[in-house]
Amino acid sequence: MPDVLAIALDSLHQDMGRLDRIATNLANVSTPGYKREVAGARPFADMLGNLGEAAGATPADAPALAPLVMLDGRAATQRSTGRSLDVALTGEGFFEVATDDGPAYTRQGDFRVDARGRLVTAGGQPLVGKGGAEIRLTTSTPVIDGTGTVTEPDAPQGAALPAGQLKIVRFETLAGMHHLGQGLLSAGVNGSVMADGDVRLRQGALENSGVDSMQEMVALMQTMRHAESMQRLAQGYDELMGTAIHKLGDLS
Amino acid sequence: MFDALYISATGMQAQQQNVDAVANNLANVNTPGYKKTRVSFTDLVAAGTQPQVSDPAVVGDARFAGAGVGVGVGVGVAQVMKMFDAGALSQTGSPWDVAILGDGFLQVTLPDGSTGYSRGGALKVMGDGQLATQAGLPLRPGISIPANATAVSIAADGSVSASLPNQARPVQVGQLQLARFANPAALQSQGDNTYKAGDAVGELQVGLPGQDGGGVLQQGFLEGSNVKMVDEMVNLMVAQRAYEANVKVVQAADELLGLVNNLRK
Repeated sequence: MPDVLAIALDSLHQDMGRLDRIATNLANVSTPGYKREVAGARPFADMLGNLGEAAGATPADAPALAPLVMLDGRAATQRSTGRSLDVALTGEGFFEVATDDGPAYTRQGDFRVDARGRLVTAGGQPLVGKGGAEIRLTTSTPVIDGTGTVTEPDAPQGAALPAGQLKIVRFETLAGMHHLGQGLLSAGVNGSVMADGDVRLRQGALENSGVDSMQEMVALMQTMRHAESMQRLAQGYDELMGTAIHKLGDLS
Repeated sequence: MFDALYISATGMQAQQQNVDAVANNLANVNTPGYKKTRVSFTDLVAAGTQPQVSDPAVVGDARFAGAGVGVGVGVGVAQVMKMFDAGALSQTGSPWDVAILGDGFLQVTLPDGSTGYSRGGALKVMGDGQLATQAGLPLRPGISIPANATAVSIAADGSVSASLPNQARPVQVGQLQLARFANPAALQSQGDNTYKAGDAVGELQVGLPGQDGGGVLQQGFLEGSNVKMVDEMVNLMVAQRAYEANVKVVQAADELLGLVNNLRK
């Protein structure tokens, strides 16, 4: 019977984790290119599997599991900004970015030019070109075509040569991808560089956040009500035990 | 570990900064030469968060390794930048009004002797004959207008000519130059429509107007503010609703903590 309390405790833990995810999503409701985090419930088999390993263990011995966090990788809507360094991917894929810890990926296209003339993300990480080199610009008004080729018609010298081509990578599945901060994501499974014909890209636009506030609000209500019912469960059980102890000890 | 309260607080702070930027943009919707500010957001992540298990049998278990790694802890402001897209030019007819058609900045000398940058506007002649901006910052390189000049004309290529009473043709008294940057978005606003260059602006190129793809000067015109009223109103609505959503999460988090505290009646 003490399992009831353990189950209520674990459920409340999961509700808190879920509320953390909802809070993160709603905080990023206007972050361009943000991918929604979804808290998934642990499959029940995980708990049972845990029990099978140690014979005689009860559900109360099962550790409080952190909630699974998955990414919703669907492309979001776009908004037009008219800024020449804003780039949105209309199809699938991610921009590749070089960081100190190796390549990272992003769909947040509000780029800028840094002091050294490199094309960088809003957080300052340089974008990687198709050849693996950084993309260097001399003006802040380049033209980026549908395949990610960057040219500079306003450059003082030699406008004809392209400054580079953005490297767009797609993944077979997004499993294992997680947020690294500053709009960056870690690599997914089986990444491959997309061919020119498959890349669809729009200059002067930004991808909106993938967060749907209505969906989050509904999830918020569900989470709160679930937590409330778990509280009632714990209270009810506590009452039951109280009554049992009281009545059983009452000999009159 | 219950972060929802703090996460929502970052959301509210970010949206507040967004509303500040919108308010400043809307206040300057009619300021000639004003360039709008944009706040760009980015997600925050607790790097290297460990799984929330302390059981030694579970730590190191591959099934738990992924849990809790790199989950978000809110939103931050990546940068607050100036957007230098051109505003609409409007004809004023005043010979002292100068607009830059295209890329570039006029250079001015700030009170501390350093160089500032301006998108033009209404100029005036100081007491010592120096051509200066409306705020009294002399242009650099300095151009001195003779006291007896009857008219002043500024050509597209920046040459400034003065008509003198005893001369049949206008005399050139100087030529304005334009400065261009690789990353003008990093210029710091100094008020009075002037900007200061920090380290982040990139390579500075100074040249004559119209050279190498730079802008040209237009006398008798003023560049309007590049703030678009509709965009700002939409931004304001989005920011307000996002703020509201974060407030709801704070309330919910508080309620959830209340539930937990009341587990035992």
